[in-house]
Amino acid sequence: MNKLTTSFSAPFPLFRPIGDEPAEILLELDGKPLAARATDTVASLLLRHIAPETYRHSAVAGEPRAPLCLMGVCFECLIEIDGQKNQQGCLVRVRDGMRVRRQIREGGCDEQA
Amino acid sequence: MSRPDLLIIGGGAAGLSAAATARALGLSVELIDERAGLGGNYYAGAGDINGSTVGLVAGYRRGAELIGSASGSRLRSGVSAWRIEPDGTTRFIDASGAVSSIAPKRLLIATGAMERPVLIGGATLPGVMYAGAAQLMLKTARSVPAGRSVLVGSGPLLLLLAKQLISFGAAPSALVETTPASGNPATLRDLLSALNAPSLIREGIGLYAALRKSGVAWHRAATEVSILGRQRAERVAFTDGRGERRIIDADLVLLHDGVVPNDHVTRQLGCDEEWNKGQSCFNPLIDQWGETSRPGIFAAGDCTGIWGAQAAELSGRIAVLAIAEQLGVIDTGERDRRAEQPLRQRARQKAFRPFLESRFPPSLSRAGMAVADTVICRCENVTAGEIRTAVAEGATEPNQVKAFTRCGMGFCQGRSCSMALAEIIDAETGRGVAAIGRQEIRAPLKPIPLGSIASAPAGPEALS
Ligand code: FES
Repeated sequence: MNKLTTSFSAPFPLFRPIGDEPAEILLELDGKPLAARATDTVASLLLRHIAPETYRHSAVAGEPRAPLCLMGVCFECLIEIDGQKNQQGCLVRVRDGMRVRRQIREGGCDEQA
Repeated sequence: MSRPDLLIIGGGAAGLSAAATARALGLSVELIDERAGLGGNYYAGAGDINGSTVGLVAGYRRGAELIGSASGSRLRSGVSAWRIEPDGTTRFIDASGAVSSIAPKRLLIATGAMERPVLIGGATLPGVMYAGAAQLMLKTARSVPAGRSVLVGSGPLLLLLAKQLISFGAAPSALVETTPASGNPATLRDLLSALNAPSLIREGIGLYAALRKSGVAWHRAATEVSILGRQRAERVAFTDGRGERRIIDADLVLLHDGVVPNDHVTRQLGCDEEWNKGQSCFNPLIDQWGETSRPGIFAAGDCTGIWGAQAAELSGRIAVLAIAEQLGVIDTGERDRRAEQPLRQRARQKAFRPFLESRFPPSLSRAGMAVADTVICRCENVTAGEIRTAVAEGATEPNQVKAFTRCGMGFCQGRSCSMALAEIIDAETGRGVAAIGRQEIRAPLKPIPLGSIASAPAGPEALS
């Protein structure tokens, strides 16, 4: 599988916010600023902001994967947080200044531990 | 290293009520939970409650109350237990990556329920999630599906989620129920015992009425479900109740086939377990107080069998009474006196379950009959066909199949595949899942960055 394509049937995130809670936490996603709500986890934030097929690529499966359970069970939400690879994005709450990096390399594979 | 009277793993209904009860009895208590916030599944988000969100989801208030009454204890979220010793000593890693340990006098495991893994064609596509995940998005992140969502499977939670999404202006585009037309015939006895929990029955009837009124396309008794798409989920295919093949568009597919105990911790400890036929899952063997086959190690709530949040709350209280008695804080008479009412209430809560179990048997995912290219082990990408080949070549034990195929060897350590693996071996050999069992679970329960372990002092005594 090569670089992420843009020919998705639905190139939008899976979720949208409700309510008027402000996005006051500022973090970095792949080097670019992104604002989060204080109640977000890394996974919930990304599910509102990126297309799910760009969440991560599994090297073993050779295909994109995205969060499945959001309760710490499936390990499909692995992502690099503050330099630490393979963190469960659904368990980690957002913090100001956090550096989040998707585990997608040129060639479309993540780096496994 | 701290040495509290009680360490509780899991901050849901059972763990929080246990912490509150233990504090009231004067025990020193620590509670750790791996999630970003307390409340478990049922009370998820209750810890983040604020003025504008009160009333967003029923149950917030009770959850916030529980958290409040437990707050005299040291409650920590974002902390994952990764190794538990038979004496209860627990090593964990916190959000900053620091490793340390707690050696409690008694350990209570309250790790709750997880979605019954659904292993059907296309389930690994991005855009496929569990219904429970969408509920957590609603409760903890105040977010709803952005596009066309299709709810697929069986169980009260699926219907509840449909109703919740409708009320938040994010109605699903379809509900595809795989519940068999009449469920399994509920026995008269199940129905009669269900009448002990009339409020649950009222809730259920209200749910059906609300859904019918909503006009959401509702397909019933669907079979042969799979998800289609290239890079992400695009369509759901199924055979409807009249035998017609249907394909409907979907941006988000939300699967649900009931819930099962999240029993990884008791498994790592090697606690004896049993096959629960009614609930189609394994659960740890416990006595009425919640003590497992390992003395001094207790378990309470849905990680011991699916009985619901109200029963979990009661079980947390009941377990702590036995723990306090073992520690000499109350005598046996006092324990029994205090336990009398919660035991009676719990029996009433449990009475409703056989009705639900026969009404909503697992029906979405049948691993034993899965087509060959269905992914069973998501982490190592092992298919049903590869597992059958290994079985045919003589690997008839779960640990052997694991060694042959890497099924269950990935990050999740078999959390998603271990039941399915037993079901496939059963389908091939006819030995029965109860006899086949599941792969062994070893510490660490989750990958621990090598640096964290290396930088931690060697023995648990030297930690924290
Ligand atoms: S989404 Fe399943 S572990 Fe994070």
